[in-house]
Amino acid sequence: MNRSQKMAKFNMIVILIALALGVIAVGVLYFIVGHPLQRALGGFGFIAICGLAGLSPVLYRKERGKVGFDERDLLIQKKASLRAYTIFWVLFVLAATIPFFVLGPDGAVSVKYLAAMVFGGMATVILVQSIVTLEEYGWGGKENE
Amino acid sequence: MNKTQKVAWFNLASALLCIAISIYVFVEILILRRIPAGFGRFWPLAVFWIFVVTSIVLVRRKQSPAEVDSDERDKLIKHRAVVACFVSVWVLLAAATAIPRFVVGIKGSIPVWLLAFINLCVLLGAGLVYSVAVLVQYGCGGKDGEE
Repeated sequence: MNRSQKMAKFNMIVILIALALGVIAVGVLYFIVGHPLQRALGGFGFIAICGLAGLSPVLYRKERGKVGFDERDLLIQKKASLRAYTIFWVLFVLAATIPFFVLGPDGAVSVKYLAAMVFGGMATVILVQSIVTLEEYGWGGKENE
Repeated sequence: MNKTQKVAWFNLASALLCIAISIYVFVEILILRRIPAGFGRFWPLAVFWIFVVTSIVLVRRKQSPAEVDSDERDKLIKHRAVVACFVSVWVLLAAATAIPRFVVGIKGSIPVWLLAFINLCVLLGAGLVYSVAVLVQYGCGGKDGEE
C-alpha cells in the first residue's frame, strides 16, 4: 500500500466514524433522550472529528530517497479530485436551492445552516476523494496491484 | 494567444460581467424592490446569453488549422490554475460562513434566496481565480503566451 492509499484509507475511516457518531448521537438525543429535533441536531457536532483527516500528511510522511509518486498516481489523484468536487458542487447547489422551494422565496434559514453546508461539503470532498483513490488502486493489495 | 488564454480571457470577462449584473439585480430587485416591467426584466439575462454565445464562437474558432490545442506546458498551467481555483472555493466558502455570523449574529437567520446568491458568488469567484491564475502564468497575453 503506497502513501496515497494509506492517507485515503485513514481519511475515509475518520469521516465514516465522524458521520456514524453524528447520526447515532442525533438518534439517541431525539428518540431516547427526547430532545426536540432542533436540539438533537447538535449531535452532528461529532462531525468535528473530520478535522483529524488533516493529520494524514503528518502521519504518513514522504520517505526520503524513495520515489513515492509517479504519473499513474498523479492521474488517480486528478480523477479523485475531479469526482469529489463534481459531487460536492451538485450537493452544494441542491443545498442552496432546496430551501428556496421548501420554505418559499420569503423563507429564512439559520446561519448555522451555512456552516453545515460548508462542513458537510468538506466531509463529502474528503470521503469521495478517498473512496475514488482506493477504488482506482483496487482497494489495497500488494504494492497497488 | 493560444486557446487556453482565450478561454481564460473569456472566463474573466464573463465572470466580471456576471458580477456586475448580479450586483445590479441584487440592489435593484432585492434591496430597492424595483422590479422592472416588460423586457426590462430580462435584459441582464439577454445580455449575458448574447455574450456567452459570441464568446463561445470566438473561442472555438482557430486562428489557423495547424494551431495546437494544448501542450505539456499548457497542461501544467491549467493544473496549477485548477489547484488555485479549488483553494479559492474553500476560502470563499469560509468567508460566506463567517460574514453572515458577524452581520446577523450566531442565532440570526438569513433569507433563503441569499443561499443561491452565495452559490453563484462562489462559482463566479472560483472562475475568476482560475482565469487570473492562467493569465498570470502566461504573462497576461503576448505572442503565444510568452512575455
